[in-house]
Amino acid sequence: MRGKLVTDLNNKIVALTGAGSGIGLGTAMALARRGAHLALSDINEEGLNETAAMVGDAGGKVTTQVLDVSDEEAFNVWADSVIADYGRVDVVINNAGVTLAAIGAEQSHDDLDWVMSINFRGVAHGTRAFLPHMLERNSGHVVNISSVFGLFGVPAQSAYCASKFAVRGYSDAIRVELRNSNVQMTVVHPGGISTNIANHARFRMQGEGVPDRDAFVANANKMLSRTTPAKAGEVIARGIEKNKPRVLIGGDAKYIDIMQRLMPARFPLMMSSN
Amino acid sequence: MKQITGRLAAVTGAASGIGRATALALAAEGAKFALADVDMHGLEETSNMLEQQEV
Repeated sequence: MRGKLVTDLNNKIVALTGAGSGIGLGTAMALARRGAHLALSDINEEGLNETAAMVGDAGGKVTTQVLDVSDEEAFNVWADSVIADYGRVDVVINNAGVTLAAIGAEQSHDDLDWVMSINFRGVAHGTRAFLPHMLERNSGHVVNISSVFGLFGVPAQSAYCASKFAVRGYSDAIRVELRNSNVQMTVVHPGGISTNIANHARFRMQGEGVPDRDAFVANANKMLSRTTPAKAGEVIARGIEKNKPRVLIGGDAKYIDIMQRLMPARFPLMMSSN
Repeated sequence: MKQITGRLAAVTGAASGIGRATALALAAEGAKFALADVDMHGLEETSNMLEQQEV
């Protein structure tokens, strides 16, 4: 791999949301192997405890907190307690996310708000909760998970695309604000990663010729089977070590990133030609 | 090019700026309008400008 390793994650304190499965679990493992201390959160207590058990042997300190990232107050309480407990936070990884399958013309605003409140507001809550602490120390790293769906438009994913484009714009803007500080901002665009996101999606499609939930989930999982969560976690850890402003995960993500810039209007149609 | 004459355009934020300019440009092509904005005063101004343009 190219790029110099500028940040040593050994003994770094990392707060991570959505740690109970998928990319969060893979990232927790990659960080634990590097000797990081972890403050893990997830809305799902069972998954959270499983992750904690899996990374516990690596030797670093591990704590867990059940957290709904859309709850700003709860997020702030967790952030303050992590800073108090560990003495500082070096890295926050805003990873928790959900999706929804719905046609834009039919989608309820309750469903739109649900996706935005977790995928975008959750990221903003995590950034806001830790950034002042990092700026005060003039040291730290914010890692916000967007998606390749934050690079191009995908049918039945308008809410998810909106939330992931929002994460990208929000993070890119703040990165410029941080240019004269020693605080880093990384935005991550994973391609297809074999996580539970489709299995846990809200499904709101109906009518003639529309796939049912099982068909939708099966097709989504096929597209998500390109990269394992463990590999995604490794790529994210390397991105932090290299202070990369932008991380693409998987060959599909790199292909989409280039093609979308070459054909901004046509490429999304080509990707959904079926 | 798509024919605009006789089409009905709904324009939000039509009281000023891009909304007003878009309404005026579409009017020049013969469109009819439903305008919306929170700024009632600006909306009336846009409406007057459209009427003048039609003459």
